[in-house]
Amino acid sequence: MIPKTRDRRRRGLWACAAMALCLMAPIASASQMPVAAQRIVVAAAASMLPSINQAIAEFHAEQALTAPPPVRVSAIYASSGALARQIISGGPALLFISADPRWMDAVERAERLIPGSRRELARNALVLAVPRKSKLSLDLKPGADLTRILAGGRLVTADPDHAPLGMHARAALKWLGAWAMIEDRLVRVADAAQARILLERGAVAAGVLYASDVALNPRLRSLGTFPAVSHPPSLYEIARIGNGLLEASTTAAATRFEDWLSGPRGQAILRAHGFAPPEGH
Amino acid sequence: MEIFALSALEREALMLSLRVALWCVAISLPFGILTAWVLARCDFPGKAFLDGLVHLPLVLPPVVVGYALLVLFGQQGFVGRWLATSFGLEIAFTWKGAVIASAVMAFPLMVRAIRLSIEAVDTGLEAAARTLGAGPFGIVFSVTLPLAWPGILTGMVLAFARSLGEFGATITFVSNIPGETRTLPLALYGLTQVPGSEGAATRLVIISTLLAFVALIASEIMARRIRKRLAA
Repeated sequence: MIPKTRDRRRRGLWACAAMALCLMAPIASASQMPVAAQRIVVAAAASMLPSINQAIAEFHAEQALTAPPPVRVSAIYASSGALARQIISGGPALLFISADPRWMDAVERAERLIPGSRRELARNALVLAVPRKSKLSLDLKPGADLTRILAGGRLVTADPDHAPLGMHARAALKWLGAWAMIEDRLVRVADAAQARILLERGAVAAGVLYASDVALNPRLRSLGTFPAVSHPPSLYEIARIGNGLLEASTTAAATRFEDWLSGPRGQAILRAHGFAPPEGH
Repeated sequence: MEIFALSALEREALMLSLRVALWCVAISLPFGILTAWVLARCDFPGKAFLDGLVHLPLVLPPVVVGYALLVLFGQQGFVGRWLATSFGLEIAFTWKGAVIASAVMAFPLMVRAIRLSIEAVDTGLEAAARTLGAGPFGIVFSVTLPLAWPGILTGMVLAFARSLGEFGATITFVSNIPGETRTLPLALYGLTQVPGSEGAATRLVIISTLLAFVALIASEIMARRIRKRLAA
């Protein structure tokens, strides 16, 4: 009996040691980094997810070739309203990309923006989209019978209470004269990215999505673009966030990514993902 | 006095939460008792597998459960398509879907509670009933289940409470549709996304807390009464 218990005890000790190693591993690898990278967090509207991910990858690749210390960008994606709410309550983002001026205004009123750092980044449009295989078609003009073509199916868009896509979709559906009929067939998801995924999966019949999410999407098809008069402009702005007492180097890192994104390389990525250039470009 | 009156949104979310939770308990109870009895009293190959399967929602991220349900019951899912074409029944994005989501999430809690109380029933009493001529069903319904009643009640209350709090599986499976699937936690989540709605969010926090508290106290009172009656 005795050797068995000792065996078991030894095994327990080994397990404890292994666990301790696992816990310490991330600390070790972090301290091995040659030059301390400047880490910044960008909070971006979910509709920008594919383009910002690509922008970050290219920005990082470029950073590797140029001056140290490198800037490491990580992104949080959600609806602009949700992000504004997080930033106002002290979230760690140093850059905010909002899909609607209303939420940028909210952050500015809370005195979290760095004055003078707010600028326009891109524009977008709203489309009525269906899965590519779908046979639906509709002439997108006021009075168009959206409920009839849905034939009992559901329409997905983002939550009109806080997500810009949903806010604009509500306005556009009112312009169509379909809001009252469609409201209880509406599936409201947390943000534009989820709306797109649900429609790609074919879980709903149609969706009001951003043109940028449909234009180059092999799984979706647009039935038509809502005219600019039908909803408030889908205007993407970027601004730096004042996050307590920031070191100058951190502020410089945030400015570097903001400039890069507004510059030719960043703008080219946004164009390639179907965003329209900001006014005056 | 005005602050004590529920707003339309609050009443809607509260009534929906109660409806979903009651249905959740009602539809999972028969299956819960059956599963608990099988796990407590039967021995068969694959029992560990069944046990694991029942407990899976307890350890899986709720979003996984919600997504799996959407894949199964959605417009494209094979169960969803079958239900829609054979019965005209729509589950995804309806309150029925919310019931299913919380029933799946609450099921392990219900089964655990009932199983423990069935295991605690003295098999000697069941054997005695058998010698007095009771059939297997008679034993279950006249001996085992009445004696396991406190555990069954606990299971019901746990399932009810779990359903009131269900969030992840629900929002993934049936989205956040006002009046249809926007229960208290989902309404609260919606409000926390909107800058400037802290007051409304606080009210929902208070309502949810009160509701959970009342449910717990009610169950405690009921359990005490049952214990007294069983002791007598």
